[in-house]
Amino acid sequence: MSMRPQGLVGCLALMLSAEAAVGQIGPVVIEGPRPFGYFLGDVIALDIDAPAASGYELQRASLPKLGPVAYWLDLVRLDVDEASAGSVKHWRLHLEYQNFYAALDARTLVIPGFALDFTSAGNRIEAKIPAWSFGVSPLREMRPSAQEPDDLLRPDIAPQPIALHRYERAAGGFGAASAGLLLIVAFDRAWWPFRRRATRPFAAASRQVRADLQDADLQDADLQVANLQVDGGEETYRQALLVLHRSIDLTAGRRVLADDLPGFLAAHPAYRLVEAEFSHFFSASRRAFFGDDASGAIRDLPPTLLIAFCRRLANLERTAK
Amino acid sequence: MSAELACERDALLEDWRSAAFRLQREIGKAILGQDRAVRLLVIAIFARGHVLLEGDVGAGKTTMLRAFARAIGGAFERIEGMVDLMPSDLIYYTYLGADGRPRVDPGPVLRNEGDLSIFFFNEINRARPQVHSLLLRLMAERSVVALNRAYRFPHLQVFADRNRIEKEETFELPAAARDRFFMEIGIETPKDADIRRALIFDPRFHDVDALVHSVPENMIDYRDLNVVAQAIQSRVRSSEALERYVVALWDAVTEPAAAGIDIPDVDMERLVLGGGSPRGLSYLARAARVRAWLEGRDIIVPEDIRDVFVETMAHRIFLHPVYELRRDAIMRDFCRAVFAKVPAP
Repeated sequence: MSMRPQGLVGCLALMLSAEAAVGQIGPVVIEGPRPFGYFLGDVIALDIDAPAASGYELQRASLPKLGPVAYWLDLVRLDVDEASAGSVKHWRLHLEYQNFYAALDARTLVIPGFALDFTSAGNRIEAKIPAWSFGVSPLREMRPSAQEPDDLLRPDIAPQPIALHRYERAAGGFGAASAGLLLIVAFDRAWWPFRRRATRPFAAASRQVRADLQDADLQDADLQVANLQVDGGEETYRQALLVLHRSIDLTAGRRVLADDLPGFLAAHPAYRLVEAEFSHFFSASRRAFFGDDASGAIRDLPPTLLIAFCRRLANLERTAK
Repeated sequence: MSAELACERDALLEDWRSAAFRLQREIGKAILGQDRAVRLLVIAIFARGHVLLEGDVGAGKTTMLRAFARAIGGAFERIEGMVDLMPSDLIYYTYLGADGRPRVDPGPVLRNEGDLSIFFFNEINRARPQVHSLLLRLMAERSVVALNRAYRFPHLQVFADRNRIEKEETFELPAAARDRFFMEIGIETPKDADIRRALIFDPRFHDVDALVHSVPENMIDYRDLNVVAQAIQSRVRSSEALERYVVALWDAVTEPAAAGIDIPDVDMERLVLGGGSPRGLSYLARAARVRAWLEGRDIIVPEDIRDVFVETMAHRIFLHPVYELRRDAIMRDFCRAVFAKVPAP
């Protein structure tokens, strides 16, 4: 609680030391703040101006020491500067005292004076700095009167609520943004719920083949063969074979040719049960695509068998996973 | 072709198929652990294509070719590639006769003229480009003009080999020469421990001459091979689906990035500089037909293409120089990736 003077309340003391030759040390001036109204813990700043004839130097050992001055008073700061003005040198001391006197009533206290030594070529002059007095007051009333409650220490002001809506809105916004980012990261890393279900190529192929071949109205086996041999039916049949080929490729992760069948079955043992059907399918496909004998392939592997094979594969696929 | 003729042709081809198997079997007895190379050479013989063998030193390349030459019959000539070998050394040679007069006689190429069935060029990469260009003509046109007339070699098949260890004092085969080879077959030391043991300790394999002589002579008549090869090519059919498949393969080889092919540590946009010529692809189809015939089919299937693809195509695919040093490994992965990516049918 530093109290620097607003309007300078000057306290002037003039003092000539007994030994001081006239003109060697000018009048010492103490500038202080108001000399009253201090409480426990207040800091009092005093500025002292001691003009000395040039040639006289301040003996720093004579300066007061930082620290306790009395049990109730501490010197907490001391700065010294100097300024020359003609033949006079102004020594300025900036002192800060802190008052620890816990007053029970209003009274006057005194900051004790001290002496400063100036020397010049063996001459020594002592300048006396006078004491400075100030009034202290108690922090609180000592004898409250029940009849005059106004004198009592009043309760603290209730804390005022701070408007938090802005921060709440910002927190909500950032929360939503974080959730959005988390979703993007989850999508990128294929975390739940973006983790795709294990693909089931044979199930998809089974649906597609059934749709392709049943569209052509093919329930009866003989009728199927007859129907497929006209009106682009062979192309439909080839398309169905292709769908199954692609699903086998997808399952294997590479293109599977007829000769690769043993390797495929070794890598996917769940389909060993249908090894014979696989061979049948590959030979029919070979006939349809590379032997240019689609009708022979249809007779060899009629659509009903092909659909049944697909369904079987889809079932095995479900149990294999 | 009338049904009767076709029937006769089919019967003839069936006989020849047995002969091809017998050839394969007999050579396989003498050349241990090289079944695939032997089979590919049989395919090349029945497709009338020139073959370049490449591989480890002492793996039996020369022995294998000598064994085939003996089994096929006809005249066999052999020349060693050297830095100072000139084209004229192949055509003629000069010497002083017993009467002290200078003589000019036909060299190894001309000596047997039409009967020449196998011309074996050992260490082809040691010969100079001039020799390569003579060989180019010999391979492409099966004829050469020398000593004031044209010589024709209707039954000629060129076998060449080179080892892949040495690079000093060698001349890399130009792209055009490599493209004229029907197949480039890699010969590797057998991996099987029993076969290795036999090759080391069985005295049968120590005397190469005796080993080659253990192969029956003239098992097939080289003069019939052209006709048989033609019959195979006309007998074995390719469907539209298969032709589309081969074109898709070619596209994938030429533009691997567009086909979605990816090999670790390889920039697919830059990898391929030249992805096979139409001649190369026609050789691929030829080889696939012979393979289908050997399998007893009259249609080509994708497996035929895949089986002969590396040997007929890999040496025609030219890679960016950055990848050329790792060619073997990259090519193997590349061909595998192409077949894993291109759908069949």
